[in-house]
Amino acid sequence: MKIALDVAQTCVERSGCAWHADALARALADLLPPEQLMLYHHFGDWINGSTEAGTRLAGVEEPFRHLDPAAAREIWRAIDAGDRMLPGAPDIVHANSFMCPRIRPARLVYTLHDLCFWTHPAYTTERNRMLCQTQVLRALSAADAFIFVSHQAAEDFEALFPDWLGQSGRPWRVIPSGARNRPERLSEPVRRFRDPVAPWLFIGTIEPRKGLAVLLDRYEVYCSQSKRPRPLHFVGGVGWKAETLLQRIEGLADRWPVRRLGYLSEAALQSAMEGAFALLFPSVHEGFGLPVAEAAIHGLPVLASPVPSYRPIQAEVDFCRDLDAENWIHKMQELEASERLYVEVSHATLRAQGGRTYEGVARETLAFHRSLATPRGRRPRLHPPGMAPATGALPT
Amino acid sequence: MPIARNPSARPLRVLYDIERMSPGGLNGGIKTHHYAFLRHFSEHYGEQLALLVACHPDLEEELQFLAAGPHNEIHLTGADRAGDAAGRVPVVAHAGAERHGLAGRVGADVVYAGFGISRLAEPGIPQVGLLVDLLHREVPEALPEEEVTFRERWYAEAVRASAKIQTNSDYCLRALMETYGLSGDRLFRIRLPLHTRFDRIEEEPLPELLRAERFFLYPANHWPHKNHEGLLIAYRNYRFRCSSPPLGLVLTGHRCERTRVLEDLVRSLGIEAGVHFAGHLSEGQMKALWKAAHALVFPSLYEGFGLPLLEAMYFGKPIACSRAASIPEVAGPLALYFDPREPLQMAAALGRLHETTSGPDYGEWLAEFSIAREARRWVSEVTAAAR
Repeated sequence: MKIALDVAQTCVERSGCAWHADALARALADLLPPEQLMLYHHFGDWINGSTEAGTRLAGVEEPFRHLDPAAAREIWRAIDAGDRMLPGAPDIVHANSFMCPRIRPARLVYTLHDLCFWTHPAYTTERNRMLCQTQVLRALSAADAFIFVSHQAAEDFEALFPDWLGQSGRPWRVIPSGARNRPERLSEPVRRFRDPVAPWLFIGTIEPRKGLAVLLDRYEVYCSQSKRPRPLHFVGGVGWKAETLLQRIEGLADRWPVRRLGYLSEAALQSAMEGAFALLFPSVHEGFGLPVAEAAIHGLPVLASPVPSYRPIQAEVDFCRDLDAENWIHKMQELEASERLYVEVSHATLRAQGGRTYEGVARETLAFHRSLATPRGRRPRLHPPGMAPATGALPT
Repeated sequence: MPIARNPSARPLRVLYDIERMSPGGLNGGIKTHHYAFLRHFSEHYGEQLALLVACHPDLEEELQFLAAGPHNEIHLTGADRAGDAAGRVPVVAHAGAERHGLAGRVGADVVYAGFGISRLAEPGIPQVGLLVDLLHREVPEALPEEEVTFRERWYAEAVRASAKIQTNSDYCLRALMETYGLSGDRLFRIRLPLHTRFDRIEEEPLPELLRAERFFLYPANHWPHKNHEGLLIAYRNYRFRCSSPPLGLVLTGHRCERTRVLEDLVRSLGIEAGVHFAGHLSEGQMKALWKAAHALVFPSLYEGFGLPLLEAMYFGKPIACSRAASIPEVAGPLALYFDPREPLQMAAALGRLHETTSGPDYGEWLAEFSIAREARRWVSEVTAAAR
């Protein structure tokens, strides 16, 4: 079985979907011989100006990587129209970027990261909303199978398209994402606690959906109530509708120790997490919430809104269980006030994350791919007709 | 009441340019707009206005109502065609290749550009341009890039070349002021109370399928900003959750390339049993369809006005509509609103419409919209521009 992975989004400044594609590609490469994997650096309507920054894997075929945008577009149009075969003749094509080209004769596995553009459209641009809408609707007819990156994403899909998965007979899985890497060594919680300038950290793009207006409000109150407030560092690129937030962060930096570190390399990000005091992540909506999983696997305490990646932590860690909008600042102060509590939360958070990384994600993905390797036209009907189990029970 | 003009004065000669109009339903609401006003002017301002309508030859048949105005003329400016209308009124002239200088030759006092700018405009003859929306600025994603570029140039030229700009709603008026820095004295608003045209339209029979069912109606061409995709997702959701037999959904509109995409989507969603693409219907069929409809659902992402809203009120139908752009200004306080980008909100609105047995009393609100009043304002504005 040969798998072609869509890594088109890894060629631009990376956000969650791109990190997912990159991490999945790397983890699959650890499980498969290179000749069974391919990387597509342009994918369907996602045509990159340059593929320079895209994911690369030693020995893995990259049939689109050296194509200029015009040539790539022409090839994808021909593939979409059925006039051209897919390069490398894969059996499975795994879409990660929301794009949904029509491909034949390979089977298309379509990743649904989130449906935020339908459930919270105010947080995206109209261009992106329409693009995602077009592609997801296309997937309803063109995709052979679906992967949801969290139970939340599957529940959102079920709420919008009740029983569609059951009625259509398309195979699907919830394969929750994980942290991209397990850190080689864990920094000592005591050391972080005792470092008075270990910062509060936010990781993610600067955009309203991430709840940053609320975070800034809370941080201002926290600062006004602290003799020596810890700094707040923002890590990540600039997302949609960010202008007001950027101005506000800039304005706040005149009064309080706020810094925007921008988009960091992988090594710098690891180092930022090792040196941080805790992750603050008040996002309004996430398909998964990668920063939470990554902070947790570093043993970093996390205060977050109930995004999918935070739910296991809230379920397991007493301190986080009753976190809500009302007591957020109090929780920050509590964490700072007690070394014993801080260390306890740090260890409990690490345990709750469970050490899930993309190694597990890749194994489950591969098993799903293999289950699809049946002749086209005999789509396995994995659910009886009726309401499909959107809560993610794996189909048998 | 027609505005007072000196009875001895010659009528105001308006070169009314609708060259860009196509036969059938391709142009959407703007055809209804022009035809309803042209008919009204012909019938009520026949002595004060000479409407010299410049249009494509294929429209000649559709425009025979202009005969009600004694001074009216049709000037066919599309491809040359042998012969003329065999003496039928109104007077037909073939400008054809001699479009250049037409405004001067026919003695126009003013050129009315029914699609923004007119290729018939000439120095020394003022132009009044109609700009019905700012879709290219407000929802450019709904248009191909080349169309946005084209409209940018087109609008800029209209603003530059027009003595006055007409638009359809206060919403568009404000948007034009903000976007193009137009002053209030160069802008005027003519709303579109065209629903009363149905008074004189003879009902025509509907296809059997449409007669049999209770249904929601969405009359709109299949353009991206009309948001049929959002509606179809919402409709499937409503249908799935409906505890009693669900209503159908009738989509009218000129068939185009996107119709096939929407039909494919209907199949993907498994809602073929409930959704009917009725195509472009005659006014008589539309009247019958409105009468048979249970309610109007209007999920558009953008409107410069929103003709079907007043039509639904005229037929006493409940309305669930988007709160985008000019829509609330027309739909008023009695409609049920939703965010057109959120299918679940829309589905909930369909559920509430389903439970509604009849439309509210729109009388007071509908009285705000009078074609006589709007026509009087138009004549006054165009007359002022001609001076």
